[in-house]
Amino acid sequence: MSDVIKCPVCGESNLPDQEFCRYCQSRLQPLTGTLKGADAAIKPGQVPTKKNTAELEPILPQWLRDARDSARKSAENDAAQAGRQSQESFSASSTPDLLAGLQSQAGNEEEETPDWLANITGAAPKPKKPQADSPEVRWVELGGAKDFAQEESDAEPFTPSWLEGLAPTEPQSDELTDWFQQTDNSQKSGQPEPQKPPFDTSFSAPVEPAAESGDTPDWLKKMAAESAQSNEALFDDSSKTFDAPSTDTPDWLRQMAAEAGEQTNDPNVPASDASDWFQQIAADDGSKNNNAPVISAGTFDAPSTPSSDAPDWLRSMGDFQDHPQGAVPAPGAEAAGFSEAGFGEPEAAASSAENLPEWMKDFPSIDNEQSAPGASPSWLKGDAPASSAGAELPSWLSGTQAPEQQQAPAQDEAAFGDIPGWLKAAAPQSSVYETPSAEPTPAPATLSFDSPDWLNAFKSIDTPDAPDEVSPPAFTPDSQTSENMDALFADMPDWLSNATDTSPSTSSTLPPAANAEEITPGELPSWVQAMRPVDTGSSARSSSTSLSSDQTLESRGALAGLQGVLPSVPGFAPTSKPKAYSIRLQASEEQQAHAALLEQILAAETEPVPIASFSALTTSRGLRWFLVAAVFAVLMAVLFMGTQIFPMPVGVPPEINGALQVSQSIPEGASVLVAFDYEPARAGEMEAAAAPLFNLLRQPNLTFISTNEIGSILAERFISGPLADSDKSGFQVLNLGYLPGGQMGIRAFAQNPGLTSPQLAGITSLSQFMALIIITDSPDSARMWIEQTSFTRGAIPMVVISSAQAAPMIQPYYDSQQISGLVSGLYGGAVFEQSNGGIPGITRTYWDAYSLGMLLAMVLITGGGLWNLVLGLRNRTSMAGGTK
Amino acid sequence: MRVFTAVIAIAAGILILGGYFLQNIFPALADVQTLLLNWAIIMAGAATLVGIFNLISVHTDKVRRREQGSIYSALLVICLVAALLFGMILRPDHSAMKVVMSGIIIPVEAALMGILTISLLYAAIRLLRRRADVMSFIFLITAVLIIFSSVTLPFANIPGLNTFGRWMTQILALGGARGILIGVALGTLTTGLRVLFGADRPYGGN
Repeated sequence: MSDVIKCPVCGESNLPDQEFCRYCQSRLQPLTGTLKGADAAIKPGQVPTKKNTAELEPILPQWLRDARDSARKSAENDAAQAGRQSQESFSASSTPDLLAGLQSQAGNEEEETPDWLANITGAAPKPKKPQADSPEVRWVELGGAKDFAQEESDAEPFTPSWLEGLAPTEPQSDELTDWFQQTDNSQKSGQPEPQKPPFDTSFSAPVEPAAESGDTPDWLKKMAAESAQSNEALFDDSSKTFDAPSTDTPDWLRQMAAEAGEQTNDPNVPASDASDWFQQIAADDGSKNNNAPVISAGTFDAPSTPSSDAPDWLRSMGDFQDHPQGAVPAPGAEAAGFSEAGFGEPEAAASSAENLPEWMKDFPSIDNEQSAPGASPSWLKGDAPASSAGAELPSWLSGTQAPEQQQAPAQDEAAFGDIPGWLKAAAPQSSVYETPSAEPTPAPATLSFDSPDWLNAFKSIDTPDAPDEVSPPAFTPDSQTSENMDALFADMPDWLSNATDTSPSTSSTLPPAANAEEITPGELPSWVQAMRPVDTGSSARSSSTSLSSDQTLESRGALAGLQGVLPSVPGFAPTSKPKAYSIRLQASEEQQAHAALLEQILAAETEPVPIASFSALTTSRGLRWFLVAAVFAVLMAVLFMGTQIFPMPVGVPPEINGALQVSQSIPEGASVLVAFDYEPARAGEMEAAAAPLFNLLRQPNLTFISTNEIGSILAERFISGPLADSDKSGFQVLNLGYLPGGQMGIRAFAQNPGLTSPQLAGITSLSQFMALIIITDSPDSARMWIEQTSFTRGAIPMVVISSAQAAPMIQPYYDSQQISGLVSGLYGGAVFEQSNGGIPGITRTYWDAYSLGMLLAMVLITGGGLWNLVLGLRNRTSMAGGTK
Repeated sequence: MRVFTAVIAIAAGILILGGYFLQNIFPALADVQTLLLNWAIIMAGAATLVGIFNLISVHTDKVRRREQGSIYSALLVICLVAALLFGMILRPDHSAMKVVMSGIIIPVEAALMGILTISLLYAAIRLLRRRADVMSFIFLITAVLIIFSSVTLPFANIPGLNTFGRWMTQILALGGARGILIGVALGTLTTGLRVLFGADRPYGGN
């Protein structure tokens, strides 16, 4: 098996001495000589170099080889006829050559037509044929078919699906069909039906009947007239040699076939039943390609065998085109005859009439009557020669008249221009054969604003301005020299530039694609498959067979068709378990010591640092006992001794004086409200401060009330205590007890004392009391009484007897005249007692002890403070010295 | 419920305020105010009873659970109940109640005041040892001067001492007292307004 080479493309085995695969014609041997390395990748910026690509000629697609062959042959024919033909042959020979190779792809049009395109008019799409049924594909790939026109003649007549989709079906009718039918009917009714030349007089009707049809648009009439003129001018020498082959090939491909048949000196190739408009184009192309109208006329005989599947609009155009020049009445400028094919061919007309479908049989009225120039849709006028520019013709239609009058290439474009832009896109030949640099598109005519966009686009394609302005096609007799061919390939893609010029002998020696079915084309069209870099890959693969044993053929994706592009390296997978590594740190003793030091540092950071502060001051128990003993001893000694060493204070403060005046102003037996709001702890001070005042009252009617729970008991104690000692035992006392509610209770009591306390029945207002005496040791209690009774007590005096501690807080109320007097503490009682006529009271009993105790406290604070200050300084000094 | 309580509180406050400021115009507001205040007095008295019973319940519970210091709780409950019963039965003007007051309550609280005197004296003596700064000196000097001005010397009075002492009490101390009172008044006003506007709900309802 080592002496067998396996085709990298199709996988078939070939003999080692074969250069190309006998099945798929792919290269088996690597390139040698000057082409060696031609398949190397082109680097960016690299200029394509000229190569001798003769070896690659067999791998060129068939269409390309055909195109080149036709170009070559045309060059030969042109060289022979160069003396008598100059301008027309120059311009007409290019386009057929370029389109020659498309014949092989005609069959693929059916399979390449998408469903949406086939169903555009609602017709049921034909089932797709298997790819094996289209041998044209093999032509392109293998280049074995030389004369595809003959093969097409044997094929069954059919219309490509992309054209069938345009053919209206019986039950369906679109606007276009209706419009055509209306036109036909109008023409039928208006004129007697002459002998029907099937397709030649479709648009050559006399002017009068056409003018009589009122339904015919003016622009269509004008178009017909112009077409007739141009047809007469252009195709007066058209021969009658067209035979209409009835094949499945589309017309535009049939044109290619006609050209090919013409090249093979077989002018009697039967024309297909394709659309006549394309036959017209083909005939025109063929005639101009050969620079002989006779040849072009004989290539196609469209009128003889019109396609039964062709749509009426195509048929009408065919009539328009196939009108024999001689048979066209051509009454003046309005006689229209567009088609050079089948001009004056009765046989062909008869045969074509037989093949007409039902929907086309309704159309001959147009043909016979040669009217309805205006009934033709505007886009059909693209092929109409603009013999006379009608004033009523739209501008964009007038632009379509030029190509017919000018050159065949332009007419060819017009033929394709009959197909809408989206149909032209379906045709594969445009992008393949057009070389923008070599064939610039002529400037379009002025666009009509009343035409749709797609018509504008279409019109722009097939309306060159002037024949002189048309750029010469790529394959012209002058440009078909070897130099020009190289220049042509310099503009081609890289893969195409790598291909060499195929010699006819090489292509002829290629075997036919017998095993082409084994190639898996996938879903790509054949012409796209031909462009796949299969050959490059195969050559590279054959040369690198020894490098990698993996020659797997990529079956899908971007690398489909390539083999060994992504070779798998054997032994790449791991064969053993990964080595285990220890994660234990390999630290030296020094590193470990450093780590321990670092840990100590971190631990020291987290340890709490005691805050340096003064030591807690210890309680001096001895001092406390000393103080207790000193105070207790002094005070007890003074009290028990009953000394009166310290004189009573002299001078009467204003607040005390006010209290004194109030007490003296209270009449005898007057009702005096007394509030006892002090704590038992201060009972001694409060009783000593209040007793002198009550001693000044003359048998008052005292009403005691207290906001303190103990107050009522303290009141009883006060009555039975200090007052009892006085000479005022005749006081009438009413103890109301506890007044709950705090200041609210005071407020309620102040508003209606009788309501709050049943004992005070008859007293409805606080103002009914002669005086209000508040005995309190709390500034808050004094404030509540002062504030809550201010609105109800009226003008009755209010005297506050407070402790020395609360006096500063109550003093403001005296200064603001809210109270009449203030007696505070033992000092106030002593002052007030001195105004009591010299009768010693309780204040005098306490005054020596009080004064001595205050002096003792002052001495202790001063002496003790200084002593402790010294001790403190010493301690601070010692601590400061210890710190240093 | 929250709205209901707030409405009651605000309405009561407005009516009380109306009784203060508009009783001359609307005398009925004074009666309403009195009525509401009497309700408040009754409720405060009931609250006092509730507090007494709560105190008895808490300390009784401590005694029942024999917690630490429950003996004092037992003593408290016994004295409370006894004083309550004697007070209700004997009334406050009974001699027995006067003896209880004069023999137990007043001496105990007076003793506490005596201990406070010794404590303050001790603190004043030790103040400069702990903190010998200007304020400490000022505090001690002020205290000494006030004490010295409030007594009479047995032999002769120091001229100007009483005047200085009075200036201290009537100017410096009175100024501070007024400031405190003004602060209290503003605080009371603000609290009253907050209650009236429902911002503060001391009666509950957040």
